[in-house]
Amino acid sequence: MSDTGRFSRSLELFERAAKVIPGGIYGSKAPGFLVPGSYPYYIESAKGCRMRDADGNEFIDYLCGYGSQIVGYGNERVDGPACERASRGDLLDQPAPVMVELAERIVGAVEGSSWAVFMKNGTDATTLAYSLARVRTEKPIAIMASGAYHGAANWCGANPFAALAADSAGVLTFRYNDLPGLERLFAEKRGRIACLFLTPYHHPTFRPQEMPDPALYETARRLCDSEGALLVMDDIRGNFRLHPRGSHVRFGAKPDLWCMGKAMANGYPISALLGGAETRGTANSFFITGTYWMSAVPMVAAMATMDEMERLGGVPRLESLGLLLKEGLESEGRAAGFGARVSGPPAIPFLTFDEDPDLYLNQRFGAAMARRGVFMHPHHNWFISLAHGEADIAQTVDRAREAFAAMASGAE
Amino acid sequence: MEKNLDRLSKADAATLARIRLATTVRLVALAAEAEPELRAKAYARPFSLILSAPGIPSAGICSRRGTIRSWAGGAKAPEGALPPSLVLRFTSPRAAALTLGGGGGAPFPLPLGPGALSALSFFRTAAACVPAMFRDPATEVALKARLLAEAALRGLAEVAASDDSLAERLAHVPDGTVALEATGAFSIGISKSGRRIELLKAALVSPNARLAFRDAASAVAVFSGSRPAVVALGAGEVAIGGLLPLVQGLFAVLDRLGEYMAVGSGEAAR
Repeated sequence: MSDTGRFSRSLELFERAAKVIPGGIYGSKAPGFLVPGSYPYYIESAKGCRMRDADGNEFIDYLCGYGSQIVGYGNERVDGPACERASRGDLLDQPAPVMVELAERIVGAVEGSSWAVFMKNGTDATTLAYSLARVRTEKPIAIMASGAYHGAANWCGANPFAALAADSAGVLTFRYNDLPGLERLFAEKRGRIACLFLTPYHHPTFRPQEMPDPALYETARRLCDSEGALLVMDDIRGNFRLHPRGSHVRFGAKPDLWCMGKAMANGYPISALLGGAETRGTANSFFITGTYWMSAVPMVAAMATMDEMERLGGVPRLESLGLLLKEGLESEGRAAGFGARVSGPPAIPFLTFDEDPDLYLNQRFGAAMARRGVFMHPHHNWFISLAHGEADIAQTVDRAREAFAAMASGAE
Repeated sequence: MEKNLDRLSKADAATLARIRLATTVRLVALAAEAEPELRAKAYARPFSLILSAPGIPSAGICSRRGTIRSWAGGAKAPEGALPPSLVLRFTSPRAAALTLGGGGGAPFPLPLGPGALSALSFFRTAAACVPAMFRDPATEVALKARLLAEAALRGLAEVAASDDSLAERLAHVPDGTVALEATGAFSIGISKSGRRIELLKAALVSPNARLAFRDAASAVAVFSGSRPAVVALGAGEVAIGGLLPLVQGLFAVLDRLGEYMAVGSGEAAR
């Protein structure tokens, strides 16, 4: 069922966009990634955990700017210092002093790291990590889990339909948590592996999320050590939602490089590559630059975001809210006769239905929730922010009860 | 990809020829079902007609006992089909692509049995009739939609099987079944397994994914290339559901098919 009347302004904008923008909206925000006609395409404004679309419909948001919002949209304790910094200049001829402060702070926070460079997007960080690993090891191959997302560049293999798919020829994949498979891959490519990319846990799109096998990180470290390869922790999605000292601490991993981003500055554009002492020499030898990579506003926002996360209760608070949501959704789903299951860590949940691996029920549920003013992506994991509160979760679970009931009766 | 047949690589020309063989026989069979005059010609005398070119799988069409069937991509002739009455043999895949794309030339007719002349007469009439049906504003939109959808899906099967540049990409697309429908125009099931895409004979009850056009006109717009699929999707003219990576993967193959279909010949393509 489509809600095109409710989204008439979105549709009108989309029609205009299709004339001047490839696909109208490209990439992960494209209508085809949602349930076209049942979700808004354009968002006008947001505050806290709620957003308003171009047609004036309000939603409780569980995508949080694809994870970039961690202390809430329009958070004055972040935006205030950021705007003040902007009034004194953002992108200057040389870095602002805040860059040093941020590097010290983040290196102090992320366990095991001793240097940091800043850029804009997660892809910047993973791409630099890949280059750095290849230069350091003088080997060509990166290994990653199949279905894992490490960025949108051609080399990452994120888009198998890219025109330049051959660019990802240096990337080999293994099935997540298949430790014998990973061992075999390392044995087969011995002497040629530069790095192993892992996300703290597996968060593929279109599938339930998967927590790491208890032996995954020990195995990964051993294999990387014996090969002389670097272990890269792509913590961009987990970024400070799983552990304040880096998601690797939660799982006992010991990476060589860390990619951070998304929630790092509550939506201001900044990402980071961090490394341990062993890789500092290689990083020193690199010419690392980007026109906007040293802009000061996101750095100020990152500092303020770290303060605000702490003030608002940080990871324990996110976990507690996430657990409330998980329990509520699973219980309401079961009550309506569905095998609803929330996977992943509580702060980054995703709902799937045991009886429907093709995700028809996800699409129906997502559309039914959007109709009731809750934005839950049907195919991509969700995010809890510190701007969500118990009342928001309770309202969401109420809406879910209605949605499940409507689905059960076929009346959504 | 090169837009001029003369400059197409040998492999791409072979793929294009496979596509044109497959879509031609399918369109001819469908047109014969829809046009009384053609149908009368087809049923006048049973026949089995093969289109072939060296180095690529042949395609065929047969008429017997009031039914017209087609096959392509190396598939066997349907059960009950007569032995070939006539083979239309092209000298090369490039020649097949040229002729079937309307660029001139003609295949060698090799009569092999009874019904050869009927087959030849039927094929010539039908081949001329198909473009006329598309041009004719009186042709029902639903029929146009069905013709385009069937042709596109036949082409999809051929390009998936033959174009090596798609092999790696198709490996990332999950296997499964897709139901494609446009109310009042068509309801077609396809299955994807590895590089093999097949049109299914029976309707799908529980497809892994669905692609539903709002109406026949929306299907015509997308399959004729006048409306990009992603835009039609956003505008609500087409809905997708179920295992989206399967449908999205097929969109990528359709894009590649579109590149082949845009190949022309001679000055017009330059």
